[in-house]
Formats: sequence, structure tokens, C-alpha cells
Amino acid sequence: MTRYTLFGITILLGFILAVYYGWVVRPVSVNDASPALLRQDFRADYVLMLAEAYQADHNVERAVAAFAFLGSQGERYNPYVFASEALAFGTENGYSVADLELLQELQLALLEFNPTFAPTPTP
Amino acid sequence: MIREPQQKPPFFLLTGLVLGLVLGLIVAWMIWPPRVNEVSPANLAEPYQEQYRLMVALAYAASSDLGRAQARLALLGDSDPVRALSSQAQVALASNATQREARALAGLAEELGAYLASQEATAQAVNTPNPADQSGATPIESVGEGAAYFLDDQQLTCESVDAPPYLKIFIFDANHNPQAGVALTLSSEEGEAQFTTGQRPEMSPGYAEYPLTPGIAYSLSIQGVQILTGLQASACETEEGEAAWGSWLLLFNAEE
Repeated sequence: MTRYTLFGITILLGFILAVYYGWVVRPVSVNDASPALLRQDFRADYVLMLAEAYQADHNVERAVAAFAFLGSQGERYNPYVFASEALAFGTENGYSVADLELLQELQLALLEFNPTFAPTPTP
Repeated sequence: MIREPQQKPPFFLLTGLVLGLVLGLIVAWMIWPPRVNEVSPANLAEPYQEQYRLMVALAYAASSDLGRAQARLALLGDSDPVRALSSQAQVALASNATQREARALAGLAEELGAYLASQEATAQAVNTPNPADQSGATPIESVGEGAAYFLDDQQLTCESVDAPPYLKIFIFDANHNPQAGVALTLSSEEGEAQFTTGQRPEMSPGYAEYPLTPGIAYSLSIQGVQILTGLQASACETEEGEAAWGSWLLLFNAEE
């Protein structure tokens, strides 16, 4: 094996070790993330907070505006979809009946406020 | 005479490794960092954190569930959540359009601040010695069946303000000699601690000690048989008249 081959192998070895370290052992920390990247349980809890606030004032416009927080780039912004996702998550993960009712109430209010929020069935 | 060429250490291998490491870290951290798909509220940019905090306050204003609000605020990782809420409330207060938000933020800050202060006061009351409070003054002898030892004497010793409360036990055999290796168990709501006499032979082979936590009631067993219950750290006054935690000094003798 020539010196050049050995030199190349050690570069490759160092590269692999460093990539493993940088991706797995100590990945870069995120400090300025967008809410679109929030984990599903945090997104669902945010919607639940919205539903709690909605229950107090019944102001749908305000709720719709607050849903913009969860909107992600390149994705059609639809509060009804966010509320439905939160409701599905809550149902699967043992949210209390009271919380599920709050989410349902908000979901219905969103649909009444703007019927175009309803997802169109795929053919 | 022919000189053999001197063997050089393979520095090029080390150079290659270092070069590979540097390139790898540049790729992993700067050029192609791992894609982050799931973050927590603590990882959000500051304006989004403010929006999240506001939503916690609005939800609290509607539900009055302080425990839930506190848990949600903890996700933001603020070192002082009350201060963060108050600062944001002040900013919101400056604008007419956000009075409702300001009220919600200030309301939660006030409630949370009062709750945390009461928690702190309770903890302080439990941890501050008060000689007037003699509720845990005397341990209750509660000898279980088959006890091989009996309580011969008990004293509350008051050493200094800085000394933590201790349980200090001396055990003597039937011939009144200090007895090492006697198994002791101190039970409380926090769990069970097992220790034996003789771990500080400079004191006495029959000596054992254990630190007590103020506000916790303990029961003591010797060789698996309960001897005392209601054992608590008790407050006392030092010779200088200062309030301190006293140490219980218990002397046990073996049954003859």
C-alpha cells in the first residue's frame, strides 16, 4: 500500500469520525426555530391553549389569527387542519374529555366561520 | 560503511487524520447540519417564544389552571418565568391594541409570583428551626415484638447554628460494652436508610449517626425490629441563645 493510499484512508477515517461526532454525538443546537418545527405534542398543546382562550371569549377571528403561529412555509395555512390534527393527537394520547370537547368546539367554530377550511375529499 | 536510512515516524498519517476530522466537522456542523424536524418551545426564536408565552397567559386567564400554566411556561426554559411574563406585560401595556394581552400576562405573573413565594415561605418555615415548636420534641418508644435492645436514654444536644440535625446512636451489649456491626434502619416517607454501628470507630465501636431532614418523621429499627417512631429533627437553643437544629442522642442497651 503506497503512502498516498494510506494518507487517503486516514483522511476518510477522520472524516467519518467527525461526521458521526457532529451529527450524532454533538449535533448543532437549534435556538431560533420556527413554530412549524414544533413537535406534535407541543403543537397539539398550543391548539388546546387556543381552544381554552376561545372558550372564554368565543372570538373566532382572534383564534384564526393565533393559528398563524403554527403555519409553515410552503404549506396552505388552514386552522381547521391544525385543530383536527390536535384533536386526533389528543384522542390518541389520552387527553381528558373536557380538553377534547374544547378542541371539538373550536374545530366546529372554525368550520362555521369559514366553510372553505373543510378539507376537500381526494378523488 | 553504509548508513541505513533513518526510519521516520509516519506523521503523514496523523496529518491525514486531522485533515479528515476538520473536514468532517465543517460538513457536519456548517455545510450539512442534521435536519431538525421536532423542536420544543425552548428552541423557538424569541418572537415566537413571546407568542407562546402570551398564549399560555390567555389560556390561564380562561381556565385559571395555574399548574398547567406553570408546566407550559417551564417548556420555554425561562430562568425566571415571573420576570419574563412581567417584562412582556409591560411591553404589551405600552400599546392600546394589546391591553387584553397585557392584563393576561400581568395576571399570570402576579398569580405565579404569589404561588412561588408561598411555596418558598413554606419550605423556609420547614427548614428554619423554631425552638418554640416542640411538636417533634420527643420520639415515641414503640418496641416491636422480639426486640433485643431497649432505649436507655435520650437527649437533644444543641451544638451550633450551622450544624445540621443528626441522629446519633450508641449501642451497648448486655455487658455494657459498645457493640459494632448492629444493623439499623431509618424509615420515612422518603424511603429507607440502612446503616450499622462501628462506621466511626474513633467515636465508639457502638456508634452510628445519620443526618435528619427537618419536617420528616422517621421510625428506627434495630436488627429489623422497630424501636422508635415519630423521630424528628427538633429545634433547640444554643448556649448563645440562638435557634438551631438539635441532634438526637440515643443510648440503647441489649436486653439481658
